[in-house]
Amino acid sequence: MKKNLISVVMLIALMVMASVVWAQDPTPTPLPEEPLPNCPAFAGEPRESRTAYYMGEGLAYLNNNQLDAARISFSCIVRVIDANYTAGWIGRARVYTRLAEYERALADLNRAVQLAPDLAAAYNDRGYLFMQWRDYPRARADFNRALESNADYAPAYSNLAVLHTVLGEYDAAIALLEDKIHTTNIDGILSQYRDPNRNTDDPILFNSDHARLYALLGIVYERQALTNFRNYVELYNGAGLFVDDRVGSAAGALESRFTFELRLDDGSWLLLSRFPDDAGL
Amino acid sequence: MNRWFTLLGSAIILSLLLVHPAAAQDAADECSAPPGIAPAVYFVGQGDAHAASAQHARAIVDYTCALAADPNYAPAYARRAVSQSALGDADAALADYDAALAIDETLVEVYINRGMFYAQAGNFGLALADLSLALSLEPGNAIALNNRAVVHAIEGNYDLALADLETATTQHPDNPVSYATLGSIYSALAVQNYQRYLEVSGSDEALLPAGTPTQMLSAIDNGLRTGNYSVWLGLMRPADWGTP
Repeated sequence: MKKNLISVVMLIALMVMASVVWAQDPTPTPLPEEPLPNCPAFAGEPRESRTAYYMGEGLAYLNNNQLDAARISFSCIVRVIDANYTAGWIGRARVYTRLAEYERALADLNRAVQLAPDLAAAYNDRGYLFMQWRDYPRARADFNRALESNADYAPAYSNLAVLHTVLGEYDAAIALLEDKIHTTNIDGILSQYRDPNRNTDDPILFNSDHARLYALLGIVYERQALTNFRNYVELYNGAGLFVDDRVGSAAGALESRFTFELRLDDGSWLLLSRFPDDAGL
Repeated sequence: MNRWFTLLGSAIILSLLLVHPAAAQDAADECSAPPGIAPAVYFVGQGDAHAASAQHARAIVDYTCALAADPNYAPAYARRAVSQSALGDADAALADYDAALAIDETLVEVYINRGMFYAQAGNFGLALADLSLALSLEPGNAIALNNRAVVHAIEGNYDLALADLETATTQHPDNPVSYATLGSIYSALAVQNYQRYLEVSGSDEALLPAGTPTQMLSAIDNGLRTGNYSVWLGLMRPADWGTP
């Protein structure tokens, strides 16, 4: 009896410890700090000038894929010039994400969220990072938090739709995308564009993120089609029946498309971030 | 045949679409900076990154964007001049150097870079003038001292060059550039002295212990690394018996 009691107590203690460990970030120990960078540009000038300079420099390096140089530029901002400059943390996180140093990226994005708890872009970028990490529950939480901060934030709802698709939640993805297509009025703009009586000299203005919703919707439907084809093939094969050639061919084409062109397991190409424009500069 | 009609039809539709494209509101603008940031200094940062990667044409676009945001922003002129010079557009470079100094005549870096530009063009007088101006604005500037020493050396004024480098190495003992220039000047002095030796001795043959001046320098370098001082011993001479 006593032995059983000890076992139960130990089991409970083990479960409590496990739940504590589980709840923690994957980076329980602080990461070793990198050496302080040398940041001589515009020394003695106002802080705003220096942050603007290093943002420009860092973004140019980032776009050139000179990631180490970009890291130094953003480190100049957050470690030397202004530790409260949210965009600097997001920028450096972007560099770390590209370098696949996800723990450091997460630490920087946590700092950005801490500094700007209402900044949709910070949550969206952290959700983006979790998607890289395939930590879908936390990605979902962050995209939702971004939308709580700003319900019209296109990168967050686009990314949420991608997440739904990756997880096979096609109905949710379709509902979200159709709602946004309607509320952003991109469907109205499309009708206007198609109007044969419109003056073709007048340009049609639209937001490219809104137009992209149609592309996402197409991908979701294709993915859903593939799932249905797979179900059919699985049932037929299981029963020893021959799959209809035309359906098999269509399924193969879709399978190929999702293997090569529309890869969702490497969904980073589909995810949106509007850094630095929305980074709270 | 039908296939060709389909292709032709597609091409026509595509060309119509290209003629009347729907314009995206957020179409990329070459000079668009993120909102809420000082654009002139931001573009200078972009330009510096591109220039550091030797993408000078792209850097010139960035600096021009900075000047579009602030036409009196001297740092943008100063940097664009360097990139213009790197691309071989001497007139544009000089115009930008002058524009930068017209806005702010105390920009030490501009005098240094224009001095270098003049030296590269073989105009040593103007180069020395600019470098001296830089040093009058910032007396201990290691780069200006080094560059003026180089110009002095080109003109054969090794004593003036050594004086500048002595100041540079005294004030900035950790700056490696001055030591490289100093080594080069001592090499030039070595060659000059060997040449004088040959002239004074009246012989065209190299009577040096280790051969030609180049071989001598190499032997000294080797001796410093290995601790073999024999090359120096070859320079010693026995006493002349006629000497009291």
